[in-house]
Amino acid sequence: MLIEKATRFASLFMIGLLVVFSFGAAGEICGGLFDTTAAAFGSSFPDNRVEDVRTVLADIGGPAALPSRPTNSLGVPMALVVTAGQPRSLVAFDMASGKQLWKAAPPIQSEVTVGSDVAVFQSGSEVMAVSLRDGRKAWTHGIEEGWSYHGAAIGPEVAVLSVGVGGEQQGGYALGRVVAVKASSGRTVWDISSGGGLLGTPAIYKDLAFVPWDRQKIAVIDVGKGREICRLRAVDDVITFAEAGPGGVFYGSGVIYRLDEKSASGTRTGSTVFMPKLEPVPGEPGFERDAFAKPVGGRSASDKIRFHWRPTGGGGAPIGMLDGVFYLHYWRYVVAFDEATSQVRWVYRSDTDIENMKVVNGGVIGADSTGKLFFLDVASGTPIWTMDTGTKVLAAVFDADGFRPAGGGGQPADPLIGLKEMIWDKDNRMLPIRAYAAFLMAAIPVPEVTRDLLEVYSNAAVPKTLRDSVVQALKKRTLGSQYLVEALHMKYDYLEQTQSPPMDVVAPALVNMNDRSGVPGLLDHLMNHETSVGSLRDIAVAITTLGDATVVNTLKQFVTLYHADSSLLGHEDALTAAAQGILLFGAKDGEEFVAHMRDESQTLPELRTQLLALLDPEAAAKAQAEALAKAAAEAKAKAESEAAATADKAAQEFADRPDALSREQINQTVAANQNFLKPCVQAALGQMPSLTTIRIRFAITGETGKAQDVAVLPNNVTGLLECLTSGLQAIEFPRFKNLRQSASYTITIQGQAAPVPGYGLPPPTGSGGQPGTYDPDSFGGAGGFQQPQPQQPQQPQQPQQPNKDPDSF
Amino acid sequence: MRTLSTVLALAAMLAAGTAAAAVGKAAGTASSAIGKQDVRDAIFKLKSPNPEEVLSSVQILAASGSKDAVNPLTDLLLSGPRDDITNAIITALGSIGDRASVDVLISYLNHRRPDARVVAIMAIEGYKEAKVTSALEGALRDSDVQVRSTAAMALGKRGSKGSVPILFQAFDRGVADAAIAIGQIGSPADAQRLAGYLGKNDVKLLLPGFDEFLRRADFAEPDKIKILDRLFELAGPDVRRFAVAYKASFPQGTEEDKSLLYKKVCQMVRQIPEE
Repeated sequence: MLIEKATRFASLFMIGLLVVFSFGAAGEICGGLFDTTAAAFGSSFPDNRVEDVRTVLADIGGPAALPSRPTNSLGVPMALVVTAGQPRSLVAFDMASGKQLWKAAPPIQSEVTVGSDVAVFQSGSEVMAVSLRDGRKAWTHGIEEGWSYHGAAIGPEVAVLSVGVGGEQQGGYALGRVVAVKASSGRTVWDISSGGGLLGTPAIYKDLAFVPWDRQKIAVIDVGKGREICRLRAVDDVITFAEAGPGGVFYGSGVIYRLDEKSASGTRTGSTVFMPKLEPVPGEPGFERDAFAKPVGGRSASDKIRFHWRPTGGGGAPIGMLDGVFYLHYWRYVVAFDEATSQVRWVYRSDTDIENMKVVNGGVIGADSTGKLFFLDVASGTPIWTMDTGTKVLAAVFDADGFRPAGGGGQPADPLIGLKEMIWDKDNRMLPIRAYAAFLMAAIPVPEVTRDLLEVYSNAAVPKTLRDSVVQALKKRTLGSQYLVEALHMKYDYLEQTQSPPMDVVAPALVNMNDRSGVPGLLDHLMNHETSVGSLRDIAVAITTLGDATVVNTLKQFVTLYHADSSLLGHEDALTAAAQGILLFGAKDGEEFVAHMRDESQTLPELRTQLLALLDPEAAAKAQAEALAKAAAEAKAKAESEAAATADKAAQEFADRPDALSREQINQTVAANQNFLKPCVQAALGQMPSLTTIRIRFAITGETGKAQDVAVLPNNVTGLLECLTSGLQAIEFPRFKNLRQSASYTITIQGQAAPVPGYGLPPPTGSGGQPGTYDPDSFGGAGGFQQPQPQQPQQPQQPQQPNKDPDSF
Repeated sequence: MRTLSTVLALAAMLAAGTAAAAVGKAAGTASSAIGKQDVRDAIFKLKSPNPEEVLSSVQILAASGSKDAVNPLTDLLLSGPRDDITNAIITALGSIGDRASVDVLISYLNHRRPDARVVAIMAIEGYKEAKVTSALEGALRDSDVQVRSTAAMALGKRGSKGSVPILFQAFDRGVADAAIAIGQIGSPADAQRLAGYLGKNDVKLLLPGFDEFLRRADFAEPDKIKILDRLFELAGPDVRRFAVAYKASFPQGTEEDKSLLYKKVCQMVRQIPEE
């Protein structure tokens, strides 16, 4: 009786499914029945909803004071260093006593995250936690083959781990998961797939996890319930980190966003943002480690080129940074910037590379590669505390809030001295930051900076990159004109290997500073053949702006000498600028001279045109207007002709399309793009090892060749629908004439091996391509995912025939 | 009556030889063939609106060697004509060789076109004035390699021994022709200094300088032997080829017993192995 009821129920259910899919094929309804009920990362979860943001803000409360003591339960300021030797070891130091607390030697493949009782890192194919008391292993959590560890956040009770698979090297498709485990035991609490897109290193605060997603979103997950409660999506920026703590919740990349109600705007301009007032910094450092980069633990350049900062406890506008400072770490340099002005406060140069840094109250703690720990005083930029760990260091992390050695608050260091030291650094790796130092120097309102920059420029041994930066930096100077005038004495000399000054910079800068004492030097450079032809116009303009009647003779000499000479071909504007000076200061004689040059038979044609305009602007304007009108008419005719050709081509392309795609065309297209779907199948197998068949039904739009309205069976695999939808949407099908057609595709998985625990794939039990084995690298063909058995492609508006297969659509 | 074609042919012949020294000899022949009326006609045509006619006239005046042409040519030059006319006038003024042109010609060492600077160097190299030497030394500092090279050669031809230090400086900076100039005007001590570059610089850059020393009549035989001794120490295929060529420059029938220099070079040819 029960069996009969069950059979009848199943039959009714399948009929219902068929009806739904028949409509689905016609493109009228779809989806609802197959929507996942994912706890997080669901496709229907709304972005940027202000009421959700309010909920989060209520949960975390207002900004609180930063901790006055370390997070770890030992209560000591702790440095955890990964030693550089083989085998690597993890060594904990009490920075207050200078003593080593313990040493552990598991393989360490990632950055170390510190919680209150454990430190977590990747060790081989596991995430490992060691006790902060003695360094002994507390627990491990397996990472499946092919997946990468992306970091962790550790709360009082729960640690949230992020892992991912895919990315640019796998067809651009990526999948992430966050797994919450008990911080004390490693026992899994929940495990959620993104359904598509990588998940970055999370942040955790007050039972909320903030998970960067796909470089665009932040999913806020209630750690206790394992459910997403809020989602932020940046519509005009990227998000590469999330940071949460007593000072608030922050996210961003090269700028810092504070999580507040304005975050719901999703835009940079509509949000509370801190953006440093700096020229683009070489290496494009972010304000936190890139949460999506595999955390290799100090072994990548991006780990050594980063901004460091901490929020103040009390908020502040717009962000409020600890000690009013943020820091740039660039290999061996630390540059402290004023939060409000972005002016350099000081520069610290370490003898060796700095492996990591941590901002604390009163300064910054760091570790260099020789194993020296140091504390830089925020006021002076000098190390007021050092400690030798006795071992070379590959990476370091600190849990040292409240650690503040005596001796701070010293006299501020002269930032110019530090920047000059930086710009003259002989380390080739430093060239980008040396070039950048020129801009930082240029922002300092001291006249001598102009002299210092000119000195760098005039040094023949300076690389071109640096010289170019100096030229750009000098353009920004408004002080130090006396040094520009002095620079006019610089001359090119092959034997002495000296350079001409950058006249295209010096001349306009003298005009900006209205320094007339430079006119004789400008005249000299105008007539000097070693002066770059490209800067002659700037020089002539400067002479005309700053000069008087005494400049006329030299200007006439210049125009006379070169008015018919090929050396000024293409640079006639320099001669015209000089002619303007002659007109301005030369009175009637000057006008006659310019008119003579205009009429002289050998005058360069372009110069003649420009002199015509100079002497008779109205006639020139009229001629120019006529020329513009003619050009506009020609452009319009050309555009019309091109539009007609484009329309013809589009019509022909449409005529060449088939009415609809054949089964073979659909199969071939999907098979050729299997990389987009493979991660989905892998992830599904992780959840349901007994899975043998995945059936996909979708519609293809004729005009775009894009898939939509995707439905999947089985429909109880978390994230599979979203994943396959995303994968199919990445595929471009051939275009066809009909508006739309339905299609289906079946992936049959053969020869399942015994599943292994976790969220990844079982290892292959045989070589790829052998019948009866699972081959994750093969999609279609013998032994892999079988070639699909698609149903006959449906013509638009033609419902599909019922199918007796109980698992079919 | 000379025909215009004869005059132009002479002028063209003159234009082909650019150095003022060469011009001196040619001008003697050509100037006798160009009469005063031809010069007057050519001066008149310098004002022609036809640039080709102006160019021809400049060449005729160059060939004439007439001092009457100096002022008209200078005026035209200072009016800023097109490239080819500018270069032709500079050459013409150099070939006429009037001292009144020196300052104007020197000013063209600062022209923006390197080819104008090169012809200006060749135009002034025959003048004896000290300011010419100074200007040529300044041209060694030029950014253009051809200008530097031409200036070095000009200093060598002028024989201004005071230029040797700056020629060494130029050689240090890679002006290869400075070695030739040093060979033309240097002292025995300069020869030894040049020999000091052996083993440090490419010997091919140094040999032309030594060749000049060895061919000078005013350079004593013992000093020439010292040069050969240094080269012999270095040996190598380039030195052997040099020695073979130098040996061939001795008169036929020269005997080793009667010339120590010849004996040395014969020894080099015998003992330095072929490649």
